[in-house]
Amino acid sequence: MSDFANIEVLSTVLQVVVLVVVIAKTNRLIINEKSFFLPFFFALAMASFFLSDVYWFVYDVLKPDTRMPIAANEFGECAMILLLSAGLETLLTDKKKVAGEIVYAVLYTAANIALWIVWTGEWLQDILFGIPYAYFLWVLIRGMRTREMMGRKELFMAMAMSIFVLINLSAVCFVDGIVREFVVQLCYVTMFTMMVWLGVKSFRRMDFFVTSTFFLWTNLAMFATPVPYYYVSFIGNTVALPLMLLSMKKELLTDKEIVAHDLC
Amino acid sequence: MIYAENVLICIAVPFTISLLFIKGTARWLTVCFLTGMVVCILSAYIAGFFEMTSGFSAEDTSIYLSPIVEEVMKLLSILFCMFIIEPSDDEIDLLAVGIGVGFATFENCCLILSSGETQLTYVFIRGAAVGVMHIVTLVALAKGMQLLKTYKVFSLAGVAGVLSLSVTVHGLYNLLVSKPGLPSYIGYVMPMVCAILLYMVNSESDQCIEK
Repeated sequence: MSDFANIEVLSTVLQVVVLVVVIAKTNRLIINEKSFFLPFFFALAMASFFLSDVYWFVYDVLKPDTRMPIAANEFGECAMILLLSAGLETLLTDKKKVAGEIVYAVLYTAANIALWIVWTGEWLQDILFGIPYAYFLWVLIRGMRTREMMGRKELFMAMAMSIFVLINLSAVCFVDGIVREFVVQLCYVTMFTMMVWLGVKSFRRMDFFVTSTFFLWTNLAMFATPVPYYYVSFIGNTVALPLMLLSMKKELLTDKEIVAHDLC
Repeated sequence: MIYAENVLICIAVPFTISLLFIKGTARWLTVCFLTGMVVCILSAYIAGFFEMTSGFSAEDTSIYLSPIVEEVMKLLSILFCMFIIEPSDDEIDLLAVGIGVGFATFENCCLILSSGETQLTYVFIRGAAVGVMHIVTLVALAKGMQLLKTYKVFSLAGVAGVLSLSVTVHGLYNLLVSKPGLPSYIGYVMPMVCAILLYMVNSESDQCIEK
């Protein structure tokens, strides 16, 4: 096994441990809380992610160096995105379908899918497992806008940065040499700047929509970065998991406060 | 050679006749059991078709394609029943268990008959692993849909999410049992562990919903 493969196995094991802790903590929340739906679906989403990691690990051990044609771990990731979306959707107070948000979510995801197809050539999987991201992205944008977690300027900046990364990643398919290297590095700088920004915002706000956006961005960055940058995204992805748990816990506390206020 | 269709007829005919003499829950359970067997044979046809068209080997089909086909077929059967008869939560449980048991029984019968003489230990392990696995994934599917219905968020995303989760469990099981030795032992134990966890979650969720 190469050093990079060892790091990948080690980081996956670390993520699995974090996931077990997150699932256990969520389970305690399910038992203690009256509002059952959100923690239950969060636990299911985390369980899917856990199974996805376990599948990847088992596959790597049982069938080393064999390509996964259409694998259950991709279904696990897809399940996690869909279950998280279903849970987050219940928190949306305003489900108004703004055309601009939907168009952005669909186009951005479609562009990502196109890039994944160019990189992997697995068009069926990329389309099938990419579609839930459009829905997830729409739910996140809607949630952040209704809760005013990001100002108008911040939202436009996030959009501009994500589109900038996407356009440049597409452009590098057509250029070569030093220009290519420069553009790629520029993409990584933008990508990780946004990751740090979202991470800091998640810590400060502790809002479920913001932490989920951080998680989504680390996920997309993982798909778009090669080793060793991949590991940075992977660590970000692992860090996002307990943040999501904490923000979900805060969400339940807020619900309780509202109920108490109503009773008074 | 014993064809799967012949096995289906042999088991299904007495059950179908019994429907004339039973009523209520027993009749529902029998219908679901029969549906499970029909779903199983249809899944086998579809997986066989994909195996031919994709060029996958039999082992690759069972690892990659069968979990998807089987779980989708099971979900469709439950969804169909849910839209037709609008069942209560208890009836959804009944549907899931009935279809799961029918599916697992038929699959086990066909496998045991096609492989000829097999050891009692193998038959017991097969029954405790695959039999339980089909019930677990279906009950998990039904539980997810019950909750979506209870909290009035019965969305495509929720249903697809629960389906993907059951495909992952099934896929992981098939991957583990495909290799002899320790991986297969872990695979055989996995459905039982999932069943215990699901039982705990089930009773917990029932209490929470009652609250």
